[in-house]
Amino acid sequence: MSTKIDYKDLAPLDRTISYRMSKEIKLCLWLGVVYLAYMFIVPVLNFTAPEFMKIRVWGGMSLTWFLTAIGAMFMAFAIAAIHVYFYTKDFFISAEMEEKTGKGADM
Amino acid sequence: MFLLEPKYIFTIILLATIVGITFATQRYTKSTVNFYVGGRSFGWALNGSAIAGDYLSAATFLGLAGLTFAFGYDGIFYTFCFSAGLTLLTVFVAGPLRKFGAYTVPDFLAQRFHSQSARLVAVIVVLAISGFYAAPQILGAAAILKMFFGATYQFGVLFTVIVMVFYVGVGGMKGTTINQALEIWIRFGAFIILFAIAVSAGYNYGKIMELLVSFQGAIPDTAAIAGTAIMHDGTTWEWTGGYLFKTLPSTISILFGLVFGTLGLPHILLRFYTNPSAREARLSGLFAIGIASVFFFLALYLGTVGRAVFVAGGLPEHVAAYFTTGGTNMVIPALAEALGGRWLLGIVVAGAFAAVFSNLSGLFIASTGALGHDIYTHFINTNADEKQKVKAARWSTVICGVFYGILGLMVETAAIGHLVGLAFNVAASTFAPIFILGIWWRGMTEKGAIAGMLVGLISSLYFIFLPQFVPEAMRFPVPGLWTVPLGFLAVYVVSKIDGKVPADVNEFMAKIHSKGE
Repeated sequence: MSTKIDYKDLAPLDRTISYRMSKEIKLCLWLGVVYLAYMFIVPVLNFTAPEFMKIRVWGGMSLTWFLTAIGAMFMAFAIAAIHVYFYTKDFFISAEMEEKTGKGADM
Repeated sequence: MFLLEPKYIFTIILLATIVGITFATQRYTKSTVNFYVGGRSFGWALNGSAIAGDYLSAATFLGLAGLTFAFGYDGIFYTFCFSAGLTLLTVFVAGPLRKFGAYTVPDFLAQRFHSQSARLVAVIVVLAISGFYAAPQILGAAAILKMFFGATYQFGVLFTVIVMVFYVGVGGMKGTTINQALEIWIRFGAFIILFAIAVSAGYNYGKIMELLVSFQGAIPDTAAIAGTAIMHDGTTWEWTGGYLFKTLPSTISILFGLVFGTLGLPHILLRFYTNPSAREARLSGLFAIGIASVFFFLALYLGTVGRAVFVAGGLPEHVAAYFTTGGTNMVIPALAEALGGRWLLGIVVAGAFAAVFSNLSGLFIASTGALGHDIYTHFINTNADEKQKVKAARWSTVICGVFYGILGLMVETAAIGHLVGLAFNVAASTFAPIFILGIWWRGMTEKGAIAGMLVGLISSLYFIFLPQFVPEAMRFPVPGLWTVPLGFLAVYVVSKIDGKVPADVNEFMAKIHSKGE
């Protein structure tokens, strides 16, 4: 059984970890918000602006059908791909470089 | 001879391959790390395929095209809700979860808070989610056996459970993963072949939508089969409101439940433990999303083509009967026979079995871990040696088989889609808040985690099973709009009031967020 302490007495996170968490959660939140905005805006517009969502974009296919049946699949992959790209390429390299300059945040 | 029918040939080949892979991987199940997480040895391509295999169940393979066929836009919107979860899981959870590295989902909570109480509550939640999810999969398998092979429903349940107990109990995570990866490519291959045949037959997506939207009236030849002519109204078929999505709040509620549900599905979460590194875990997630995205696109296109073929009429009588009286789950088999004959139907039937086995085996592994690892080695025999632990894992598989078999027999007349929706809602309201906050917020406490799981579970069950005690304006088929925020709020409020965090929470955060693989 591990001991417990008051949250307010908790020591700050290690500076590097804090910086990495801060940097990654900002990216995650940005991507998450953009993605969820897409997901929620489609039904909201279906109910509030039906004429707009019924615009034909490909033969008899409406805008809402395109966004739901085709656009959403690209979006799902694109959001995850952007995240993985930053994670596997230079996201943390630049994070470490910036960390040396003294930036950081406590989580 | 009936065994020369393509559906028998392909199904027997599938079963023989499963048996072969299971026996070939048996030697990799001698230790707990091998049995539960395959020695953490799976690369992104194999594990990504297995995640997709876990996620894209029979409900996806047969159901989504069927819903599109029957309800048009509402069918594709249901798929839209399912398509989001893996992306959020990969972005917020996959990497840190792998760095934590454990055997089961309850392990995360137990080690994050050093709490056996949290472990026990998590086990209950895992069994609840897996039960809700497994029952309709068993129902689906039994229904396929009944429809295509003339078996009784009870035999179908028994056969499926026996195959699963063998598959997971003997092959462990290694055998399960290789089988799942193989199975996703079988049904993906079936979809690709169907897609290629449909495109080469001139079923241009835009053009068939034009035909379907403009057509109104009785569908040819349906009166002779269904008794009265089936009507098609293109303007309502292509618009929302025909199925579950009748009001905006109800639509948002279902979206909440299904989007956040994937973040809490134990059989998907634990797959990220099986990669050798966090990088591979993220790439696995991305690969699974790629497969799932193409798969969803194809399912929706094929459902639309099925509707176009059906509305055009002129089908052989037995194929028209599949569309008319076979329920929405028969659209893909019917389309396969209409466009590619009985050989393509045979591949699709094998693909349907592959879908059921793949998804069910993931649920078996998750539940087996909850019983064999979390309950046996942490509550019943805390001094168990490696041999006893592996033995417990195998017996847990049998117990899960009995449990799921009974559930399967109980839900013969239930709606598959509804039960899967409920599993997602419970997962969204319990594990999703726990994992997101547990990974990113140091202030989460043991009491907050337990409160979040209990509030999420109890509120989900209340809204689902006691709707008569819920104001009418708040009743939705999937009550995620209420239960997901309640789960998050319970974790946050109770943690704030409690204020007692584990003294080593900084070390935990350093472990799951550190640089490196």
